[in-house]
Amino acid sequence: MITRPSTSRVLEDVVEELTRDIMPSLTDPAQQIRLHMLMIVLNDCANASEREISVMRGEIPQYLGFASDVAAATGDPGVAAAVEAGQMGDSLVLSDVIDDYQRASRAFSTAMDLVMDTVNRDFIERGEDILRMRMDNERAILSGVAAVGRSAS
Amino acid sequence: MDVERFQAFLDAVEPDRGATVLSAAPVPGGYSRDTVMAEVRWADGSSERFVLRGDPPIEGSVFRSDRAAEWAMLQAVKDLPDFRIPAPRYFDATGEYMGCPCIVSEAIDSTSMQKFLDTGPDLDKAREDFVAIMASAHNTPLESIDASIERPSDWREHLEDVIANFERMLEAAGEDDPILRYTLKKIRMNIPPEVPMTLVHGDLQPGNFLLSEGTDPYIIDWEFSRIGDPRLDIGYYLQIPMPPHLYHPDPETFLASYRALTGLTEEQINPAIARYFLLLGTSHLMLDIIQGSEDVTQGHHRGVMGTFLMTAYAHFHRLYLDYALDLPYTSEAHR
Repeated sequence: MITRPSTSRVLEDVVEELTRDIMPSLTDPAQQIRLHMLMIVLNDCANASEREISVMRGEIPQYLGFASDVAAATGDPGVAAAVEAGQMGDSLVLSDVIDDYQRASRAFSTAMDLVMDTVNRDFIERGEDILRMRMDNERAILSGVAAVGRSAS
Repeated sequence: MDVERFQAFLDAVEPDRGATVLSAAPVPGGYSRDTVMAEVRWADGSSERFVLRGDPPIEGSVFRSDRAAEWAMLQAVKDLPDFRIPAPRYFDATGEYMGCPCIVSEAIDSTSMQKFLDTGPDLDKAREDFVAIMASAHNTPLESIDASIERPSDWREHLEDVIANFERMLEAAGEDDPILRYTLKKIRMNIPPEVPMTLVHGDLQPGNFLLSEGTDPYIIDWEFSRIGDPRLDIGYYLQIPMPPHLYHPDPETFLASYRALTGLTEEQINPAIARYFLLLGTSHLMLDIIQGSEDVTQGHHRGVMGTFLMTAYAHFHRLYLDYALDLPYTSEAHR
């Protein structure tokens, strides 16, 4: 397996080539805007390739731990079943990690729904901290809004 | 929507006027519809410029809206006294001539309010102008709008339909997005006081106001318009990222002006309720963005927007969580 350069570095280099040589040769403003958008996408992909598996594997125990504690405290069978169904596998293949992440997210949401319905302040506060963590991780990977090409005219 | 197609269209709809299409140039910058600026010379020697708005091919687009519904709304509001729109002139409903459903409107010699804001004007005055234009749309008596425009049977039903956009998002995203689920639950815990339904533009921002010498401002881009809760337009504007922003520096003054012009009370619209309506006023766009993301996941190409709008997905995700976290766990305290 070739690891030098990494996938993220390859994508960054592609963006550099597009910036240096392809973008200046485009004269159509619409095509320039499209290319600019694609370069943003590629930069985000470079970011994601570097850490998305690690981020998801790091978040999953947080979701399952929260849901497991809610299940234990409330005895709710729906939350307990979601925790049981959400256990993480060993595979580090991206599509498998995504499946694990989605199941764990579902377990978290099932638990969060319950503590919100019953206004359980302690669990709500903890759950909201987990949501903030999820958002911080997402923000570190995706660049956020970029109003590329939005016309003021 | 090129010269040849527009020529064939005008030959069909204006057979006696001897149109010659001189140019048809794409206008970049729109995220939703394809826009073309065209120039036409008529046989009597006069000339006109037109704006053509058409649907991009479905495999190259994310946002969905109905040109026939937009045309019907344009017809319903074109002669109202409260505000101006560029005169809608022709509609190729089937795309037989233009290659896609396409609305042809007069072009206005104008500057967008967004471009005007870039010149560094007095922002207090600009805020008052912006609020006045917004209020002019919201103050339009519903009985003056053609009965063919759909009206929700009551406010609560309408609000539930808008809230249901979050359920549609969750369905499209596979029901496992904790941020959307949390946001939906907080929305349901904080149903705001009822207000009279009005004309709602759906994309009300300075970029869609045209300023023209000697006339009142024009409001363009009515593709997401409907009859509903006017606070959807206020909430929508809160997330517009292009500076300078006319709301955020002084929400109280912005809303005091709006209340003075519309008669809504402070209980009905205040900064907390405006933030609540960001969640609802953007939900139609977020639904399309999530559906586009899911289409890409399933292997369907949606053009550059299908992937680029992941940036908007992240943007709305962040806003939704931030704004939903601020909402209380009781149905009180909208302030």
